[in-house]
Amino acid sequence: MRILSVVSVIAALSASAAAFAADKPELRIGSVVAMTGPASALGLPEKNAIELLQEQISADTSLPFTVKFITYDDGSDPTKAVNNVRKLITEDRAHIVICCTTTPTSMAILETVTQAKVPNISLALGQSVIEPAKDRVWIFKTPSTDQLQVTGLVADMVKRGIKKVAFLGLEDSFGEGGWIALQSVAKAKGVEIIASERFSRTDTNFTPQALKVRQAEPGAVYIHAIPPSSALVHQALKRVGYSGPIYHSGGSANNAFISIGKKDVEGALLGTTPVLVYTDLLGSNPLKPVITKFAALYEKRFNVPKVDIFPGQSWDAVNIALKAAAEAAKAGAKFDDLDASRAALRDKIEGIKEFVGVGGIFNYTPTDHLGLDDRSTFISVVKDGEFRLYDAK
Amino acid sequence: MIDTALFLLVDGLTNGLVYALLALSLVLVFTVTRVVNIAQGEYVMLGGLTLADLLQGRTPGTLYLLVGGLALCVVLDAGRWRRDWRRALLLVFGAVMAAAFAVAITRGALALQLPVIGMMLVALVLVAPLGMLIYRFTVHPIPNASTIVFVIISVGVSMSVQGIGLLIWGANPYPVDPIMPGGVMMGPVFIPYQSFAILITALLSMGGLYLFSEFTLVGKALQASAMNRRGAQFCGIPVNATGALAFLLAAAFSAISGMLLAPIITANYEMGFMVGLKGFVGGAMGGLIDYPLSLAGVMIVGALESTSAYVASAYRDVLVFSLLIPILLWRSARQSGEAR
Amino acid sequence: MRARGLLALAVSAVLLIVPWLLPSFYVGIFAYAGIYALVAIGLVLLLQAGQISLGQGAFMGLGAYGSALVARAYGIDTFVTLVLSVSATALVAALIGFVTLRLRGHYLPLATLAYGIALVSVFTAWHDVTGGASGLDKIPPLALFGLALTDDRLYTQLIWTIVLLAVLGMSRLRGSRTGRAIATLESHDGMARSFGVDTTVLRIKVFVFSAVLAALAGGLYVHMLRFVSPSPFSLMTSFKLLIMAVVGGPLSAAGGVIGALTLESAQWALQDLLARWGASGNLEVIVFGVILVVMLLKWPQGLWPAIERFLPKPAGRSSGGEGLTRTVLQEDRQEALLRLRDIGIRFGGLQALDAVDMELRRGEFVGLIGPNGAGKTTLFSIISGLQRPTSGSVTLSGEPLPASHSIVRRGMARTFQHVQLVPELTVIENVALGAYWRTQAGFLRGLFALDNAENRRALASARLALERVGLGAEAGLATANLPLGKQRIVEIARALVADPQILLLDEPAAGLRFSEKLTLVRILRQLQAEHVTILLVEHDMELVMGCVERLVVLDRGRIIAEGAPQEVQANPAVIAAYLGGSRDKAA
Repeated sequence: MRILSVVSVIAALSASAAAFAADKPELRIGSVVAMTGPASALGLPEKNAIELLQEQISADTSLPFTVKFITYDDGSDPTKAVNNVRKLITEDRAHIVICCTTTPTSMAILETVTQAKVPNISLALGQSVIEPAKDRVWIFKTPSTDQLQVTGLVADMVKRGIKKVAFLGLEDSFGEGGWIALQSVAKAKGVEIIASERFSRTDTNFTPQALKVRQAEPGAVYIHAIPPSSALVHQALKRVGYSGPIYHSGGSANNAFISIGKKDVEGALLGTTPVLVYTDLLGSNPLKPVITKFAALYEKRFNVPKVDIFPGQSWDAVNIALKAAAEAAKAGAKFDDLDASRAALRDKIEGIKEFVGVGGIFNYTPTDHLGLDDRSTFISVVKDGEFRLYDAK
Repeated sequence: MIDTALFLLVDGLTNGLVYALLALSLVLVFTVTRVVNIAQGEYVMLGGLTLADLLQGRTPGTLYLLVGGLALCVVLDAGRWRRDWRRALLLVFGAVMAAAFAVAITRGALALQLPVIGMMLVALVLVAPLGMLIYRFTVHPIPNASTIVFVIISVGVSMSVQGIGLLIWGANPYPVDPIMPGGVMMGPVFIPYQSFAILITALLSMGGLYLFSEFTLVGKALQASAMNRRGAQFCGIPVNATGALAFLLAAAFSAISGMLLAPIITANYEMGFMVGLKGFVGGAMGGLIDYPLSLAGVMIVGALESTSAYVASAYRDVLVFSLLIPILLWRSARQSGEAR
Repeated sequence: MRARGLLALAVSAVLLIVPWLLPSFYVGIFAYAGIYALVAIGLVLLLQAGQISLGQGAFMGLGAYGSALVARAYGIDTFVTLVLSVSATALVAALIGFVTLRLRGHYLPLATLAYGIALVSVFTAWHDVTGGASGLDKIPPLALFGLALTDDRLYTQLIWTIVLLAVLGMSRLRGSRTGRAIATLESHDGMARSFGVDTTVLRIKVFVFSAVLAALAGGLYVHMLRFVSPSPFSLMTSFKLLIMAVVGGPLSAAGGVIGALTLESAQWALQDLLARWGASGNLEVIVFGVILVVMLLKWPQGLWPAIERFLPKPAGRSSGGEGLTRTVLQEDRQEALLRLRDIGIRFGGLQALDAVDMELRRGEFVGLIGPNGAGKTTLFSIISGLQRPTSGSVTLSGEPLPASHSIVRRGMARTFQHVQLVPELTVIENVALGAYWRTQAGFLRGLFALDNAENRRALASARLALERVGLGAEAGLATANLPLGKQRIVEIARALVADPQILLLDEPAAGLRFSEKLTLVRILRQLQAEHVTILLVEHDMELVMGCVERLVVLDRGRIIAEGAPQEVQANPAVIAAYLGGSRDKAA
C-alpha cells in the first residue's frame, strides 16, 4: 500500500513537471510533520492530507503558479524540527513553512521562522503558539485551540448544573494543552476542578486513575486524550462505577474511539471540529459542502472508513497558503524574490476573511492568528455507535 | 482505605502479569545466548497486529516479512555453500517449503475464518520464525562480541522492526477480539476473562521453562551454551542451533503475550517498547537468569505501578523507577552474596 | 612534534574552520553533532570503566533545565547559570553514583535506566516550574558579562573547541596514573585494589566526570536552541548516545566524536536521500536501524580501531631518567613481619581453612605447598586482604590488616595465579600500576596534564623494573602479544615497582618454559639478596626446593608440616598427602 503511494506520488510529480512549462513561477511549500515518534498518530494523517492535496494540485492547471511540496519528518523531536525548518528555509528556499504537529516542536521553531521572516502555519493545538500576538507576527495556525473546544463543553456542563469536574489527560503536550485550557475555562465559568489524573499513551492499565476520579465524586469527567487510551480510560471509568457524563476532546473524534470503546462509550460527548459531524449539519451551513468533498476524497484515497480531525488541519493549512499565494500573485508578487514574496504571503494570510475550511471558518486579523470562532466548534455525541451532532447548528 | 489498597494490589498483580511472558522471553534469550534483547518487545507488537489482521480477514504484512526474511537468509547462506551444492540446494528447498507452508496456512486460516484460538496459532507460526531469522542475521555472525555490542544491535533491530510495523500498519490502533469476552467482578475489581488467560499462560510458561531448563538434558544444554560456548561446543552441543531455538521460543512467548494483550489495550505499532521495558525490569530483578524471580519481579512492577498511579498519577513513573533502585540494591547484594 | 600529534592538530584546525565553510543549515547539524560528541566522550570513559549508562540523557537534561530555568527566571548571566547547573549536576551524580555504583552486572545499567526515566518524568510532571511537556521558550542565549553569543557559527566553534579540549584531556588522562587505574576497573577490580587503587571512589569520579560533560552539553544545547522541553533528554536520547559511543569505538574519546559525527550525518544524509525518492519518514528509521546493525556486524569494536590502524602510532609517555626512590630493606630474622593466628574460613558447609598458624620473618623466603584444593590460594587471598577469614587474625608489622586497597602501602605486593594484566595497556603501563600508591596525581591533574614529572618517574621505575627482570625490550609492546611466561614475569616487575617489603607470589612458574623458570629463579635469588621477604606458592617442586629456606605444607585446609625443604620432603605425612609418590616433575 505504501509502495503504491510512493509510486503514485512520484508519478504525479513527474506528470506535473512535464505538464507545466518553465514559465510559470514556482511556489514552494515546505512542511515538517511528525511521521514517526510519539506524535505519529497525529502526524501521519497530516502528511496524508498534504500528499492528497499535492496530487489534486498537480492535476489543476488553473493556478497561476506551479507548486512544489517538500515534506520532512521531525520524529516529534524539537531539535529535528528546528533543523528541518532551517533546511526548508535556507536549502529548499521554501516560501512558506507548515510546521509542526505538536506544541513543543512548534514552539521550538518560533525563533527560527521569526528571524528568517518566513510565514509559518502551525498544526499544533496550543494557544501559546500564536500568543502573545505581537511576538507571533509570522505564525498562524489552523487547528482549533484547546481553549475553544473546552469552552463549548464547559458551557454544556454549566447548562446541566454541574459544579465539579474531574480531569483525566495524557501526560504529554497534547494532554497538557487540555489541562491548561480546562483550568482557565473552568475558572472563568465557575466550575471547580476537583481531581486531575494523568496517564500515558502506552499504558496498559487505567483503573487506578479511574478509581481515584470516581472516588472524588465529580459531576462530570473530562478526558483529554486520543484512542486507544481515551477509549480505555472511558471504559475504566464505567467499570469502577462512575455513571455521570463523560466529555472528550477532539482527539477522540475518530472511528477508532468507537471501535475500541464499543458499548461503553455510548453517550460520550466530544468537543470537535466540524469534520466529525458534517453529515448532521444543515445544508445551508457553508462548511458542509467543503467537508463533504474533502471527506470523500480522503476516505477513498487512503481507504479509511471515516476521516478524523488531524488531516483536516494540514488540508486547511495548505489551502490557506495557496489562497494567499494566489492573491499575492494577483497583486504582482514575484515568487523569485524570496524575501518579498514571503512577506507578501504573510500579509495575505493575515488578510484572509471568511475562508471556509474543513476545520472551520477562518478570519485572520493582526491580533488573532487562529481566526476561528464558535461557528467552528461543535459538540458531538456517540449514539448507536456513531457520532452525531449534539447541538443542531 | 483497606478496600482501595486491596483493590490496587489485585489490580497491580493482574496487570503485572501482562509483562510476565515478556520477562520470560528475555530470561530465556539471556540464559542461552547471553544477549540482552532490547528488541524483544517488538514480537509483542508483531503478534498483536498479525492477529488483528487475521481476525479482520486480511493477509497480515508479517507474511511478507517472513518470506522476505527467508529469502535474505537463503541469499546469505547459499553463497557460503557454493562448493557443497547439495547443502545449498537443501537450504533453498527448505526455505521455499517453509515459505509455502506459511502462505498456505495463512490462506487456509483466512478462508476457513478460524476462531480466535486458531488464528492465534497461525499468527504464532508467522511471528516465531522471525525470531530465528533475527538471530541468524544479528547474533550468529558475531557470537563472541561483547554484551554492549549486542545491546546496541538489538536497539537497531528494535528501531527497524518498529519502523516496519509503522510502515505496514500505520499509527492507528487495531481492536482485537478476546478469547472470551466479558469478565467477572471479584469484589470491587473487574477482571476480564482475558486476564485469566494471561495468568494461566504465564504460570504454565514459567513452570514449563523452569522445569525444562533445570531438569531436562536439552534445557541444561541450552544453559551450557551460554555459560561457556567453547566448552559446550566441545561437548557436542550445537551452539548455533541452541541460540536459534532460544530466539524462536522467546519470539513465540512474546508474540503470545501480544496476542493476549491486544484485546485489552488494542494492537498498535508502539505497544512493544513499554511492555518490553517493564518486562525487562521485572526480569532483571531475577538477574535475568531466574524464572520464578522474574515472575515475582513483574508482579512487583505491576503493584508499584498501580499504587503510584493512584497516589500521584502525574509522578507515577518517578515513583516506580525511584522505588526500583532500592530493590535493585537489595537484589544485587543478595546475588553477590550467593555467588560467594 | 610527533606525527600523530601533528595529525590531531590538523584535524582540529579543520573542525574549527568548518563552521565558517558550511551553508547555514549544515552548521546547525554540525553544532548538534558536537553537543552529542561531548556527551559521548564521557560515555566512552564510563564504558572503559565497565559501566553501561542509560541515563546520560537525564544528566543532559539536568544541566539544561538547571541553567535555562534559573537564567530565565532571575535574569542571571547564562555563563554563571551554566557553571552553577553543571556543578549541581555533579553533586547529584556523586550522590547517585555513591548509591548505585555498588551494583554489579546488569543491575547497574538497569539502575541508570531507572533514574534516567525518573528524572525526565520529573521534568514533564513538574509543570509549574519546568513548563511540563510543552516546554518553555524565551531561554536567554549564552552570554558573558552582557555579551550574547547568538551567532550560530561562533557558537558552533565554541562547542567544538570544548569537544576538542575534552578529547585532549581524555587522551592525557589515558596516559596518566588515573587513566591506567581506570583501565583496571572493568574486570581487574581485585588486582587494582591490591595495588592501592580505591576502585569505589574512582568509579564515582569517572561517573561524575561523565555527568559533568553531559550537563555541560545539555546547557550548551539549551542556550543555542533557546527552548527547553523534556523530549530531547528522553530514554531514546540515552540510547542514541550509547549507540554513538559503541559505534564510534568505546576505547577512545576520538571514538565518541566519530560516533557522533557518523550517526548525525548518516541520519541527515538518509533523510535527504529518501526525501528525494519521495519516501516517508518511517522508512528512514528502518534503514537507519539496518545500517546500525550492519555497521556493528562489520566493526564490532567500533569504527575508531578500524581507522586507527591507518594512522601513525601514538608515542607513549616518556619514561627516561630516574625512577621513584626505593626503600633499602634490612634483614631482621627476629621480627615477625606477617603473622597469621588461627585462621579459619568457611564457605557454606565447607571449612576451607582450619586453625592455620603461620609466621613470616623479615628477610625470610618461605614456600607454601600442598596438593590441589588444599586452600593455598584462599590463604593467599586472606593474606593479601581480598577475603576476610571467618575466624582468626592476620597482622602485618604488628597491626591488623587494613582495607584491601591500603595493604600495599604497608609494603605488601603480590602476583596472581591467573595473570591479571590489563590487555588495553602496554607492558610498561601495566607495570607502572605498581607505582600507583607511591604517586599522587589524581583525576584532574591527569586531565590537565599537570602530572608530567611524577608520571615520568613512575614510568621510569617501571622501565627499570622491567630491565631488572630482563624484559626491558618488551616495554612498549601490547600486553596481549606476550607469551604467558613473560606475562608472569611482567607481574613480578609490577609487584617490584610497588616497592614491597613482602612479596606474595602465587604460582609464578605455572606454564613457564625451562629457560623462563631459570630467569625466575635468578630474579627470586636477587630479591632474597636484597632482603625482600618472600612467600611463594608453587607446584614445581624442583624450583621450590632449590630456592626457599623454609617450607609450609597445607593439606585440606590444615598445616601438616613445616620446616627445612629436605625435612619436609622426607615427611611421611607430606608424601601421603601427595598420594604416595614424589610429584616433583608434575606441574
